Amino acid sequence: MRPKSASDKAFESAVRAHSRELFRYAYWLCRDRGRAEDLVQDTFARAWNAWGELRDPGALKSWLYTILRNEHLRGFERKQLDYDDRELEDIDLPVEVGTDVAIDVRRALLHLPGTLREPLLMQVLGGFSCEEIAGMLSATEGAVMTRLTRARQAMRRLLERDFMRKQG
Amino acid sequence: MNCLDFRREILVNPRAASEDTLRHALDCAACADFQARATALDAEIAELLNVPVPEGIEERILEATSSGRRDSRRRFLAMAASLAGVALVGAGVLVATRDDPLALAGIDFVVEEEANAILTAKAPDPAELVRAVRTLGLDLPSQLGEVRYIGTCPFQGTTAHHVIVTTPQGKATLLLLPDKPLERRGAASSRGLRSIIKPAGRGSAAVIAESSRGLERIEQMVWMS
Repeated sequence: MRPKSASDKAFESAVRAHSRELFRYAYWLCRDRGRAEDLVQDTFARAWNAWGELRDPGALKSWLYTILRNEHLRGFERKQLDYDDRELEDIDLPVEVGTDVAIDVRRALLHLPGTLREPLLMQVLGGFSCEEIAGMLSATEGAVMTRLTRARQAMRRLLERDFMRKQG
Repeated sequence: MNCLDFRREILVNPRAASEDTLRHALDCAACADFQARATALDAEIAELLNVPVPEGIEERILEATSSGRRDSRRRFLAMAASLAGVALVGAGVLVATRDDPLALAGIDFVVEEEANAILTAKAPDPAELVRAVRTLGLDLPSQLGEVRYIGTCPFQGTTAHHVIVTTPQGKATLLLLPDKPLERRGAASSRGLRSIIKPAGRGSAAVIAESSRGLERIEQMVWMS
């Protein structure tokens, strides 16, 4: 069905405003450029079919993220990864970041379990609040805060490990 | 707010700017430093996430949703290729492509596959790399820069020795291809990267870098020394 009139314009505006960011989110979910573009395309196809259900235009971006995430999970069996939301026991300084650590950061990010990487992606890439992320992940805000903390602590540990390995 | 509460908040979001955190950072140099480092790490992550987006993605999405088709990307590309073919045949000319396909494949590898290659690579064997370099009649002088990664990975149907170096001109990737014979040098420029691929011994080697200056420097050092 072809988008038309006011909805048509709003939809086109949404595609132009969000498709690039959604592609990046999709890419970091599946790490395949072709699959990422298909995911974005499927996301907008579903969004158009449900366009009338979007009550709050301010929630458009998180709605699109949620659709894309669901499309991704639909195509891939979700891994059941262990994580816990226990009280934090230690909070250390993050490792110092130089200008030449992009490779290490990439490796550390890819080593994060999905349960920790996803909220980090949503916050850093999408700029979402913990409350918004909680809504998208069907989790509590407290759980999201814990996962974000654990993600950054895990990144630090992985970067420190790389650093120590290089020091010999 | 004490230091522990401050750090809890910063690890949730380094850009947190509540009145309490701002006040605490002003009074506590160690926590201000903690926040600066956490923010720097987030900036690195943000830069990493900013992968190139395929050109024309918006138009393909609009086209797909307007017709209900779900796979317009491939059709769009197929149609474009078909139209280009018709135009060439119609004109009766053979137009040489500007970018060498193998050199272009080197850029695609760096953009799309390098991260996974690093992640899934077996433990590197430096001796094997040294053997490959000698077999190809090349050199990897120390002046080239800091070697950040070595490994092996599949590339264009063969096994490549994958080397990443940090040079004064930025990061560069070398793919040494002992089993990929080549007749002539090829070059390409795409996605903000430049690459060359050249014969080396009985095989070939490719260099992918961010600047043409960096590329020329590496080419001279690896092939001429």
